[in-house]
Amino acid sequence: MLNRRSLDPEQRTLYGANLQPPAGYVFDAAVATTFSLDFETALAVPVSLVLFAAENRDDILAHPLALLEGAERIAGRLVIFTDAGHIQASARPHSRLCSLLERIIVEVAAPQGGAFHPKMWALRFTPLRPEDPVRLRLLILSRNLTRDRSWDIAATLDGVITRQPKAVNRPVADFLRQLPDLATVGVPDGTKTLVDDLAEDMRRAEWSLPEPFQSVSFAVNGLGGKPWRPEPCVRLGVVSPFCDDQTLSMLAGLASAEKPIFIGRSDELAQVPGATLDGFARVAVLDEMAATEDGEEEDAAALQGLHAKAFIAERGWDTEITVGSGNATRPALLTGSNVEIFTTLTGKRSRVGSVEEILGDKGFGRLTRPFVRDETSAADVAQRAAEARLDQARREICRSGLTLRCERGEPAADGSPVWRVWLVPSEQLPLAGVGVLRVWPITRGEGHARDVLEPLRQGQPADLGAMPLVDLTRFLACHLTDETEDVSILFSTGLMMEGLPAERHAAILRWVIDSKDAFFRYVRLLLSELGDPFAAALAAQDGAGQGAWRVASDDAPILEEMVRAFCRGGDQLRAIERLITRLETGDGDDTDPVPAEFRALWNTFRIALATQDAAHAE
Amino acid sequence: MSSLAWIDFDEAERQRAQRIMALFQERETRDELGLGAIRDSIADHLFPGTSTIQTRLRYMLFIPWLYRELEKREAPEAQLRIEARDTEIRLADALKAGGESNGIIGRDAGPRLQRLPSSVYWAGLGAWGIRVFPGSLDSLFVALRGRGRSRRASSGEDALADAEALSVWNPALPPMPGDLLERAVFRLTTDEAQFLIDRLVASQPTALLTMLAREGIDADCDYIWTHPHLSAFPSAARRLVRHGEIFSQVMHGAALLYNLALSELRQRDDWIDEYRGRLEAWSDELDAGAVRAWSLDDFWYVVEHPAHAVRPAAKRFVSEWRDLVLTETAQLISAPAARRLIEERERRLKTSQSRYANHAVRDRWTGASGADRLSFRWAQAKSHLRDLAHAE
Repeated sequence: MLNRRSLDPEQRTLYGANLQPPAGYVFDAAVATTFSLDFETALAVPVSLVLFAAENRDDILAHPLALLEGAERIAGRLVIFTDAGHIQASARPHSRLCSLLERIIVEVAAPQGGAFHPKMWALRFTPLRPEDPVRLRLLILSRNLTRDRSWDIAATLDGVITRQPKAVNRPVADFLRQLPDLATVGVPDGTKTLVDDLAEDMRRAEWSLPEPFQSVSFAVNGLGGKPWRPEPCVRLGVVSPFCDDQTLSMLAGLASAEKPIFIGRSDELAQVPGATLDGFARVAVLDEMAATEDGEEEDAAALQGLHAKAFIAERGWDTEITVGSGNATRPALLTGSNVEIFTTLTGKRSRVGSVEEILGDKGFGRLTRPFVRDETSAADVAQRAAEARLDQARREICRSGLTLRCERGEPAADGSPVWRVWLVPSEQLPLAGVGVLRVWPITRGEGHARDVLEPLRQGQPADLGAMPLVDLTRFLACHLTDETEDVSILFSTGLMMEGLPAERHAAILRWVIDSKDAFFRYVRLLLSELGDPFAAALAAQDGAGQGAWRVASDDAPILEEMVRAFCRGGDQLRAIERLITRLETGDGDDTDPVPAEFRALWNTFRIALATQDAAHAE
Repeated sequence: MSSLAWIDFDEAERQRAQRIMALFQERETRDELGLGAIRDSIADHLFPGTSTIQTRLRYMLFIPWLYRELEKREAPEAQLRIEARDTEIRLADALKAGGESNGIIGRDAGPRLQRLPSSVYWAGLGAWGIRVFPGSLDSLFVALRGRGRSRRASSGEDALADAEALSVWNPALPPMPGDLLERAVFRLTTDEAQFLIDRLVASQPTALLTMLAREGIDADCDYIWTHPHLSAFPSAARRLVRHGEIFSQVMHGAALLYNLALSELRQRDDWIDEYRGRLEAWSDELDAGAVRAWSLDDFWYVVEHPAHAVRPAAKRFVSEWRDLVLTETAQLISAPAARRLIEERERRLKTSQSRYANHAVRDRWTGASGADRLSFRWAQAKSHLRDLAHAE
């Protein structure tokens, strides 16, 4: 790196780019973990993995075809584990495409009762050329899979698979293997195999370390064993938005040469006794000028400001930087009730930088200001109690075996089929302290909310209303309001759904591919060569404001591309076959997006493909 | 590429982070009342492709020139990235050697430069149709590698596909000066200026910026609504400029009142006097008739922009403030409702960092926050238009 200080705020990397396959490689499999998640981000991520990296998330979200194909291509090869009850929901209806995430998102609970908090990606990429090695990537971050605009750190490690398992990778491999067992509502078929295979590869990984680091280690808290925490050292610097008295006291006693440096958040620091803070040489918070942009008005659901967690220790000639999900709090570092993941990178202090260089005025510290005692009042006690009550109710809802039941209802006035959905409790839920509990399927929006508090307390099924096939979803939005305080939470959780019709997936497909134009654009997207993000980006454009592109792409005849794909082995054509078959399973009363001429042409390809398959079979 | 770094979700967020750091010292100009989305919508309609951290116009050509050279190279992706960086750093030296002093990005940072011109101008290059590749800078490097592979594997029949995959920049890009990395200047040639104007005409046909670029006027005015040719603007642009003028004027009072309230909390008589004076001047200048006639419905309709979500709370704030301006006129400075509206808005936006709630943040306040009128990036647009007008 050019400057001798690690973690300079100008050193930045992109989430999307970190998920992109290296050149000459394609995505093969991935497991991700996060504490919280929002649907739009989770929908955009597969596009980055298998199609292209857009300039911004909204660009991707504006391309339903790309979202659809991203989710289709990724099916069975990606699983995202998230803390049960921390999927973010909004009051407006979510895209029906979110239902495609039912096979990708798995809600889990920390076995020791805390938060499932780790933020990690384990990825495997396969080479386009057979002589190249399979590659692995591991990301350990502080950023959730959300639209947060906070200050977060990511460690990215690229590696290859060797023959020998390596002791250093054991925490990561064990962590991966245990994930499916933490699920609150079961896991999609094939999850265990996917996770175990990736865990095995991770055990054998040989990582190439970022400059100037010379060694790496990993730690996982909250799945048994002694929790990782910083060890005694010469000098220590800590960045942690959340903190508590006991953990700060522990940290203050670790450094032998001088008191440590702490960078946190003022609302959290306001609750720590002054005597504890006296154990630090410097206590700082992010300058508010660095938290938001000029004139910015943040989404209430999105975090901003400091969210990174880092422990920087000087020992001998070395500086060790530990980053990951764990804050300077009891559940993260002392009791092990949270599940957390960390990675520690170690290198020579002369090249990595000292604590003072990294966190001082020449490094990240230039964006901070000193914390002033009593600068702000600590959060209201009554409000905190209400938040705790609602959190308890959240756990009950996610972990008490609630299910959804779906049955065909009376057709609507215009004769279109509808399905009625019931929310079925397996027992009476106390839901203590809750004043109002309203739920609705995420595809329907708050306008379709039903108050279900009483039926759930009595253990009775609650009617969630009748809806068209395309709106059926396992994801339920839940809005809880406290009985006494003006505090509420809104989240989504995925429940088992009995009687979900098999044709719902095709209905979503037909809802996206709603015209001949959309159909042809989708075919073009399918024809874009694997590992060619460029062609995919081109195909996904819907023509709005991309004049220069459209000209180039419209002139390329689709037939030629199909013949070319056939000569290359026809994988893309099999994807088209899958698409056409699916589109045929619609209810048939709406317009067919596949033009008749294309169907005729396609039959020729079908025969050719069958011949090719037969030849391969011999 | 293994790394340990701060992370942004996408290119748009990285640019936001870079703007935050670039403008970190400019505390006084910051709007703390959350009008950014409205302000930026208007600016993007009037002057698309500009940004607050752009400096000189010719970077819109420097970047494609340098990258087009790189694209010709057959090098591994990692090496291309390193070379790209080095090239951009060398450009700063070349500009110094060319005798430039104003607007060199990375003039003092040298090899430590992190905020590269390519990232500052990337979005603008796309908005003006100079860049036709539709992805981020990162994905360009990936695509270049992929292209190199397919080029080696390709045969004659793929020539068409290749020609397509090569179009990263607009084909009409003027030739690059041969000694660009030895000596560079910001002055445009007439051909280059014409190319930029053509791109604007093709990609942003309705933007006021395009019309002004075609006219080639170097107008020295502080606000777009004081432009000498205002009456000749197309009607749609005039309508938007008029809305911008009223919005900027009405909300200026809110910003001044916020500054006055903070001055009072800090018990700084000199600041209090200044803001009282400025508020009186503001209310004297205010055209009450125009404010009364101002259709907010039409305003929200006109400023709507796909790249910016104006939240309902912001709309409410603007409309409530406008109503107070009309009902309280002379007593606005002392009206409790006006004070309350401003305080609630700031507290909601800044939560624990509110200057009303947090005395440490308040004590660091230097006496001004967004106390100047909004001008919708006219300063950047004016500089670009000046560079165009002085081409030779």
